[in-house]
Amino acid sequence: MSMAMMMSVALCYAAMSGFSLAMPRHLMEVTDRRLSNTQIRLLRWTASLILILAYLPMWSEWGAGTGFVVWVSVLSVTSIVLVLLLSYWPKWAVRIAFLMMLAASLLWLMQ
Amino acid sequence: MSELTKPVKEQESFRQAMGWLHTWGGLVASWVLFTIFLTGTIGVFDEDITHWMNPEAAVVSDFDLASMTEQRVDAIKKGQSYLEVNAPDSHSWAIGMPTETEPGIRLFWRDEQNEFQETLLNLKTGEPMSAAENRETEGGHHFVHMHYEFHAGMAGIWLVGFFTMIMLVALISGIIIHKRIFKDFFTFRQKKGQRSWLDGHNASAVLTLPFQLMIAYTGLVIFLSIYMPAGVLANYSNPQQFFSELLDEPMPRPETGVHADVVDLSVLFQRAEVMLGKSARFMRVEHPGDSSAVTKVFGWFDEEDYYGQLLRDETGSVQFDATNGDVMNVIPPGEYDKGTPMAAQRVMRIMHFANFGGYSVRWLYFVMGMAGALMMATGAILFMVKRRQKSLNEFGSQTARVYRVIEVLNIAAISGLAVACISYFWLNRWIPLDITDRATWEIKGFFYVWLVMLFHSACRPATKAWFEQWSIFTLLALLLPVMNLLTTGHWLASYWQAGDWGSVGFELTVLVFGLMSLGLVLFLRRKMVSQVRQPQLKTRSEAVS
Amino acid sequence: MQLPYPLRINFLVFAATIGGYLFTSAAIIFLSAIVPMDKPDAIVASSLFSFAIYTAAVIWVFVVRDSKRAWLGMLIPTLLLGGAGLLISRMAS
Repeated sequence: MSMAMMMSVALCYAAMSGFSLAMPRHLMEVTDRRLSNTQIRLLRWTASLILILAYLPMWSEWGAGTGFVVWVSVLSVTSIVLVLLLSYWPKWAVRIAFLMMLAASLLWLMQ
Repeated sequence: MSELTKPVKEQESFRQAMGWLHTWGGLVASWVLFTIFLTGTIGVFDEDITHWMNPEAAVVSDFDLASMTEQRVDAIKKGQSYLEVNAPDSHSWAIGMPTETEPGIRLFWRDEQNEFQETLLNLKTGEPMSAAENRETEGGHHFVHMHYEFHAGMAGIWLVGFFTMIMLVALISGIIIHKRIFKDFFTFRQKKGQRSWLDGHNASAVLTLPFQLMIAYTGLVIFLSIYMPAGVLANYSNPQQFFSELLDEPMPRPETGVHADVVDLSVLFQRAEVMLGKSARFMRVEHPGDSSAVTKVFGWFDEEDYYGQLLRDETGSVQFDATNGDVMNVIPPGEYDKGTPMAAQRVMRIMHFANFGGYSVRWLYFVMGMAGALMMATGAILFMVKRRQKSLNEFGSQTARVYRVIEVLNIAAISGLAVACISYFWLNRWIPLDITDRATWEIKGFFYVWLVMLFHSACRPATKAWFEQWSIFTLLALLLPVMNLLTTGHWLASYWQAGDWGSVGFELTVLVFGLMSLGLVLFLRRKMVSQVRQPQLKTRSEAVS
Repeated sequence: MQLPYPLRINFLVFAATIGGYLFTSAAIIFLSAIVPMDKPDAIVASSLFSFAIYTAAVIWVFVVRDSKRAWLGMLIPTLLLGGAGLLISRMAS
């Protein structure tokens, strides 16, 4: 697995968990806190931004077309993992999301 | 079911019609589509599987054939002399260079009866390889053939195309009837009976929807000229004319019946390499021995050289008159230049084949393909789970019987196929090495096991049949590495030491599937125990089974 | 007149599969006649859309849910598109 692939996997997972936590149903399973509408909007915007960021390493490694195909694939596969985690170990789903963000930042610093 | 043709005026009538289409179209196609998806997904790793299934094969990658001109020319010479002696009156010949999984001179020919034949020659002696050098097996290609033609030739290709069309329709109608795509995007509620099956069905489809649409459409596009010949038939009296104009190649020459010797192919092979400016890897001769004989030499193809290319470069080819060596056509290696529509088709083909991005793309396709198989399986099971709670009486007095048939087919198609697939690997190790048609016997064995599973599911109550078949799968999968150690002396650690990552990956993957199946077996056992405790809750359809 | 239900469903399924295929074929013939490309390219280009057209036709048949209307809805455009396509191709060549 290349650096770009790891980066994209980490960011895609983080972005998708952001989207899931913006839904009250999934947030409920993780924490008792409730998010205000502004916070939800902020979370969604951040997640969208991370999602686009996840495409960039794919683009630079594979080119725009192939990169897009691989990016969508990574998105699908990380979402499957996320849904399974959310269902069986919801707290870990979130912890891993933070770990993924951390890993992505480290990978970025290492470059 | 009867609501379909009722003249309904309500707002929901469109959705109802789509629901009907999704339910029944999906059910009818689910068994075949599950087979296509499971075998196709396994087929993503066909080369690694072939490698594992052929432990006798020496590792040719030790010497790099692409850079050894003499070796390649020698291989063509040996191939030609074998074919001239053993297949003189064939309709076509082909000679291929060794690959990592098939370490000999690969010969293919269509004999006088137009039957496809093949053999592997030893690189040094030019004689067919013995069982001690090469285990006769179809390897991972068996799964690829199941995937697109069920080993049934043109009929199989049409069948797969027909069901893939149903898949497209089922995907679209499924999207239409799914009211909460975004609300339920991340939702999987476990241990909730019917609810869980629906969640599983929805999640596996929605999360991988781009892939499922892409893979179905591109799969159809691969056989575009077979499935959709209307445009060609309406404009050309001879389809060959169309292909020759489209690809800018000379028309194939019809057989004349006049004898003419094939020239020394190795000379043409060398000339082609010089003209292409690169090594060649494959050579085909049409109508050898006839005065119309034509030969085509194909440039070397290494997956790594085309890494990341969706619009893959031409590998290059040269076509000669095989009776006198005149050049008929040259396609130089390099940028693909057959026009936008053909380029679009090429991109779609390459997207389908999953070999454009090495192992990372293969694994992504593997997971999404398994999600597709899961979508088919959960859909078929959901159909029965819904009706086990409460019969919908779609077939009047026959309803219970029809349900039973559906249930049996569900079991045979899902767990039965899984058992057949894992048995195929056991057969590979157990069938004696020196029997004739060994490769065919492995495949026959696969189908026999599948048939036995069908009988088994027809004879046993549904839950017991599921439980027993997944138990068999679990045992066969978890014991596979042990069996391999006993029969060949290889196992995970020895593969690891040899740096044979393909085989390590294969055995680990089998173990993971064995463990998942074990989880399923334990789940089914709990279910059986609770069924025994509450017999009064049995519904009618279960009483039948 | 009302046919028995299984028969009606079968007519509908045939309208979708066979009728839909005929319609798709006619649509390809028509498109490949009007697409401004070389003939072989035009044929490939229009054939690439065929499976989307076929899918849409099948869905349409099940939206209509009336075998007579469904069959007419497939066959009339088939004749029109196919005829027009053949005519344009012949005139152009």
